Amino acid sequence: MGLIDWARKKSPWITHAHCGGCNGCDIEIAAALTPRFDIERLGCLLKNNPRYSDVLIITGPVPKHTEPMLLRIYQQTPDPKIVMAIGECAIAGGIYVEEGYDNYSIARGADNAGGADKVVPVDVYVPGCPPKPEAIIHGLALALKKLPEKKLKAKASNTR
Amino acid sequence: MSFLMYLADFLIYPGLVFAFVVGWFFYWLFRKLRARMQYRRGPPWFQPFADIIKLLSKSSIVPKTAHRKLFVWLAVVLFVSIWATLMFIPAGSSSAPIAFFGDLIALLYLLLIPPLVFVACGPSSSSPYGSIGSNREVVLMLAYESAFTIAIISIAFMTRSLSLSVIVGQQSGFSWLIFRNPFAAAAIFLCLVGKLHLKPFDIPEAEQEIVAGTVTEYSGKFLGLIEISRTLLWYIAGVLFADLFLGGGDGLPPPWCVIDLLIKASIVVFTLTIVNVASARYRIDQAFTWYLKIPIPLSLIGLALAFVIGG
Amino acid sequence: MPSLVLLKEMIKALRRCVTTRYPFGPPATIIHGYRGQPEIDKEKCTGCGACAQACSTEAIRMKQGEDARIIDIFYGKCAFCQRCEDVCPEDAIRLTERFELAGYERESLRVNNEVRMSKCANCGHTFFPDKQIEIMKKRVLENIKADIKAEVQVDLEKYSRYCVNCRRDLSFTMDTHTRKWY
Repeated sequence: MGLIDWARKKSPWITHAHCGGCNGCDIEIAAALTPRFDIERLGCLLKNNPRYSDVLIITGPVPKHTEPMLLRIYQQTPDPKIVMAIGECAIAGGIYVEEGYDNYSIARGADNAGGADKVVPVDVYVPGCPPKPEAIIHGLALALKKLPEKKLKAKASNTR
Repeated sequence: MSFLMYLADFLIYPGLVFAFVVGWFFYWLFRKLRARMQYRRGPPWFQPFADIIKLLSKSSIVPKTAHRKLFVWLAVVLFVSIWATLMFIPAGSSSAPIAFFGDLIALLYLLLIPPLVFVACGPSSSSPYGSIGSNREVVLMLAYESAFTIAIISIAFMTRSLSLSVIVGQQSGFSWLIFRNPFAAAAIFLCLVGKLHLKPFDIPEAEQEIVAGTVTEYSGKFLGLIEISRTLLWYIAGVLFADLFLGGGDGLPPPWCVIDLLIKASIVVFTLTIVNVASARYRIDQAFTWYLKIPIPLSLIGLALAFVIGG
Repeated sequence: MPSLVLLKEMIKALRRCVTTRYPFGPPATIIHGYRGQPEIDKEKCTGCGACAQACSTEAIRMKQGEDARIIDIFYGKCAFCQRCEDVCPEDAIRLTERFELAGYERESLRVNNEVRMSKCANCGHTFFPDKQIEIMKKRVLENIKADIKAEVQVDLEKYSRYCVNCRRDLSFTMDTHTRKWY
């Protein structure tokens, strides 16, 4: 594990993209930053600027009007990046998507589920409604294990 | 021979490597103390180094509507200007690698370049956050640069010299300038809070308001250069204050003078951290009027003191 | 500029640090009654499907196969509301205290139980799960009056091999029809 892999593992900067939802998962993410669970000791900083961050956290079922926003945030994040879907709504639409009920605002995929991976490729799924801050830290540790596989893609210098 | 000595000074001591390592230590100290004062544990000692290596290894995105040449070269100019400033600041020994009569003025000039580069970064990235951030940076700069300059002039008057090395030499034997002119010391300390964008005055980079201010659109390698510049700026802030007012080295033999300087600069960093943790962010108009009310009168009193006593 | 109370609080905070050591050090403290990952006890589940009907997010689905019924819990949609645990007649489904459930693939977030179905000896269609028949026999024999218990036991053995329609059709030939009680 070279110097660069070590540095990428020890310093994950987070951007939190909130796409609809009840804010329960967002409060638990904010709780992970409080002194009790302090993810800054693991090197994590909450930089809500997609251009600065390595880890993109998505919460909430992604309604149709937030899809272009999420896609834009994903494109603005430089490689190598990890996408985490936190909470039941970001994994498969959660409580807002049901079999026989046609929700007008959430777009569904082929397997009739909603969630973030209809819009962007997701690397780690963290279940919970909302997940405990410790579960979020566990998900972050799993995500960082996957980071050495992500290489820099070819020059993407003129994207927005 | 002397070219090799200059190269060693430029690259190693007190050039890039020494300043980067000491700046890394100060930045880590700031983050750790800030965390500990908030009941948290704080990052481990290698954190600023890991941040910079990670940033230098990410891909850099230049926005399509940005002015590409200016965008890229501003980051480089920031880094190079701060690197050049390092040669003018004595780090332990009584004289800097570049020392001549009037180098205090050259230092003032070089210290003006980082805020100006920040001001130019904003509009060059064609982002509305950048424009607002550079607007705020200009106003803040007007506020603190006046107090800074007047205080430096009062120091130059008091010690009858315009060379930083002579000022450091004159403070040997505990006749530190902080005891002789505490008003100028207080004024320069408060201006350092503004220069480093620490808490009551981190207005140009206000996270909750304008994403990241002037440097919003920088990513990857350019952001790595900007973070290295920030680390070096921590070194300059601590060591410059220790040189000007706390004796800076005290004329001791070589390893002890560096340790002495680092202890004094760490105390400066500790005080800056306390100010940062205990304050909330000011609005830009509040910051400007505050600078008009307290540091500028303090520096004027220091100037008057220098006229009366300094002779 | 900072106030004295704030400065005293900061100095006090320097001496005390409240951060837990998770993910290193001792495991996280869980309060009693925490609702975590759902789990099905394979000994007790009868495949009745009450949990699937009660589930508030349709995370539990009951899939009917050829000769097996699968109760499938997708805890990527589970809201951990505990309604399934409340309605289960056999106390087979239970929310444990495990909360570290993150995974790389969405399909890895599943827990399921398969229940064998028995086939009718007459017509060959699948009708009830095996466990449900066992439990039905056990409960009837526990609660029935003592003087008719032996005869009911014989009858139960006979008609628990047939589906509902065949049971009705063959009730005269097997002599399990209730006319014998009147």
